[in-house]
Amino acid sequence: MPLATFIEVTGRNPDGSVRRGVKINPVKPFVRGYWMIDPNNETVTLAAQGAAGDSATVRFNINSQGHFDWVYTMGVSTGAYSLEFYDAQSNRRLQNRPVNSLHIVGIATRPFRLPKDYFLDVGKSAREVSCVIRNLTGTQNLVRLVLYGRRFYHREMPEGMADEVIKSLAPKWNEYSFFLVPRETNMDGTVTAVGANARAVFMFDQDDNADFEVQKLMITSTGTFTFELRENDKRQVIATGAIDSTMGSGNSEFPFIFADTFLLERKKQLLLEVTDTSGNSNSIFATLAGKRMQYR
Amino acid sequence: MANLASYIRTPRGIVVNPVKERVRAYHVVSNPVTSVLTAAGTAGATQEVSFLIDSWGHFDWQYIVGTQTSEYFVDFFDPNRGPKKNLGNKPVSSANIVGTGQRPFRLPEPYFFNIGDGQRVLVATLRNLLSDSSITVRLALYGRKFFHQNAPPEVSRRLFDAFGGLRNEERAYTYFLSPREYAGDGTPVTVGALGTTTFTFESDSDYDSDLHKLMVSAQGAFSFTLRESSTDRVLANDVFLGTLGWGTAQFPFYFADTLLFERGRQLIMDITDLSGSTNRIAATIAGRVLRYER
Repeated sequence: MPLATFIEVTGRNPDGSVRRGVKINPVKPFVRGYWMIDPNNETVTLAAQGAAGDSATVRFNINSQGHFDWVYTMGVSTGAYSLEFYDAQSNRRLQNRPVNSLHIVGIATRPFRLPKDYFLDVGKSAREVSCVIRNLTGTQNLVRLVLYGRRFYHREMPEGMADEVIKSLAPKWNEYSFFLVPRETNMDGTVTAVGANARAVFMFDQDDNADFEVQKLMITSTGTFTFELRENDKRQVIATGAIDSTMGSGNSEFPFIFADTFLLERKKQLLLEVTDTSGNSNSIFATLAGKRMQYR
Repeated sequence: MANLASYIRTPRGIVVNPVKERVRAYHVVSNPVTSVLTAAGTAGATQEVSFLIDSWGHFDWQYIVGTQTSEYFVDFFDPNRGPKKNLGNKPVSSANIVGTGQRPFRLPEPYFFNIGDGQRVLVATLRNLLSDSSITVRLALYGRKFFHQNAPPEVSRRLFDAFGGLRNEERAYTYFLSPREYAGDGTPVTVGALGTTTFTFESDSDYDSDLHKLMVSAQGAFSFTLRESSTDRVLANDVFLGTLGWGTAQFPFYFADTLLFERGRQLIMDITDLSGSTNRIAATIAGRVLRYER
C-alpha cells in the first residue's frame, strides 16, 4: 500500500474559523520505487542443465543508503530455471525447495507480487538477499533477475522521522513471504514426470515451526492434466470433483488466487492429486505462495 | 475510488441506498464515434473529437478505452478547467493510455465533471504522427454517471457532498507526463542503433504531483535508469531492461510507492538502445497533480 502523498491538515483563519487543506506528506519525499540488481551478475549465462556452470548465485546487496521493502520479483530469461532465495542476516530461506521461475518471476507488465512485502532494515550497515539459480533446460539460458520495491532514504530524513518509519513498517510478527513446493520436487528444482494418463500425488508439507497462509497457486506443466486439492488431515477435497488444470492454476504473471486465503497450519499437508490427460509424459511444477508466520 | 454502498444500515434495518439508484456506470463515446486519421503529414492526420457530458448528470471519469488500427497520439483538453486545460504536457501515445474492455486504462485519479446547470465537454485531439497509412480510431471514456437532475433534492445534495462536485479548493486530477525532448505534437525521440539518449520528465512550477505508473511504446529493446536531478538519487543500483520497468496501457508498471514529484523537479531517464536498430521510444508517466486553486 503506497504511503499517502497528500494529507489533510486543519488550521485556523484569523477570525478563528477552522480552515481545512491538503499538504504533502513529509515522509513521501524520502520514499521511492527502486530496482535492485546484482551489478556483478546483471545477466547470468547458465550452461545447459547438468553441465558445469548450470547454476549461479545472484546477490542483491541493500547498501546503507536506505531500507528496502521488497514488493515485486521480475526478470527475463531464455528458458525456465529454478530459484532459491536466502536472507543471510535473518538466516531465512524463502522456500522449502527450489521454485520454478515461471511461478514467481514476472515482468513489468505483470510483475510477480510477493504475498507480503519483505522489509529489509539495513540498520547501520547493509543487507544481502542471495538467490541460487539453476537452469531447468537442456540449452544455455540467459537470465536477468530484479527485485523491485520501495527504498526508504531514512538517512536523509529529519531527526525522529526515521524511527517513526521503522516503527510503522518493521514486522511486528515474524511473518514473511514464503514459497512452498511439493516435497517430491528434487533438490535441484527438477521434477519427476507423471506418466501418460497416470495419476500422481504431490504433497505440500508444512514444517513444524511455522503456520503458512496460502494466497496463490501456480502450476506449469508440459501437458494437460486434471487435479484435486485435498487436506490430508481431514481427508477433505476442496472441490466437488477433478478440475481441469487451466481452471485452478496460474503462473507468475497470472497467478490463481484463492477465494479466501488458505491456512495450512504447522505439521499439516495439502495434497495435490493429478491425473495426466495429455497422453504423454507430463512434467508438472507446482508452487504455493503465501505468508509464513512464526511466533517470536 | 470505492463503489458506493448498495445497501445501508438504518435504525429500521438494511435498506437500498437512495443515492445508489441514481448512479450508473456509463460510457461517454466520442463525437464522431469513428475517426479516420489520414497518413502522417497529410491534412487529415490530426482531428478533434469531443465528449459531451450532457445535462442528465455529473460524470466521474475513470477509464479510457478504445480501439485503433495503429498507434496514434492523443491530447485531452478540458475547456472548463482553470489555467491549464490540457491533461498532459504533450500528446501521448495511444499504446500508453488507451485500454480495452478487458484491460481498461485506469486514470490515476478519477476526473469529476460537475455539469452545474448545463453540460461539459472534453476535447481530444488525435494525431497520426508515425503511420503512412490511415488509422481508424474509436475512443470512449468510461466512468460513473450521477443522474442527479431527476433525483429528489435531498439525494441530489448528497451526491454533491459525496463527490466534492462543488469544491473549488485543492483539486487533484490525472496528468500524463512526457519527456520534454519530445516534439510539441508528441512525436517521440528516436534513439540511434546502440546509441544513448536522455529523457527529462519535468514538473511545472505551479503544481505538485505523484507519479503512479510507467508506460512505453518502443520499437525495440532498451535499458535505462531513472535519476532524480534534485537529490541525484538513482532509483536502481544498476542499469536494467526496459521490459522490467515499463508497461503498457493495458498492463502498466506501477511504482511500488507512488513517486512524489514536487514542483520544479526533474526525473532523468538515461536510455541505451539494445536492439541494434533505430529505436523510437514513446514513454509516458501517469500520475495526478495537485494544484492549489487559491
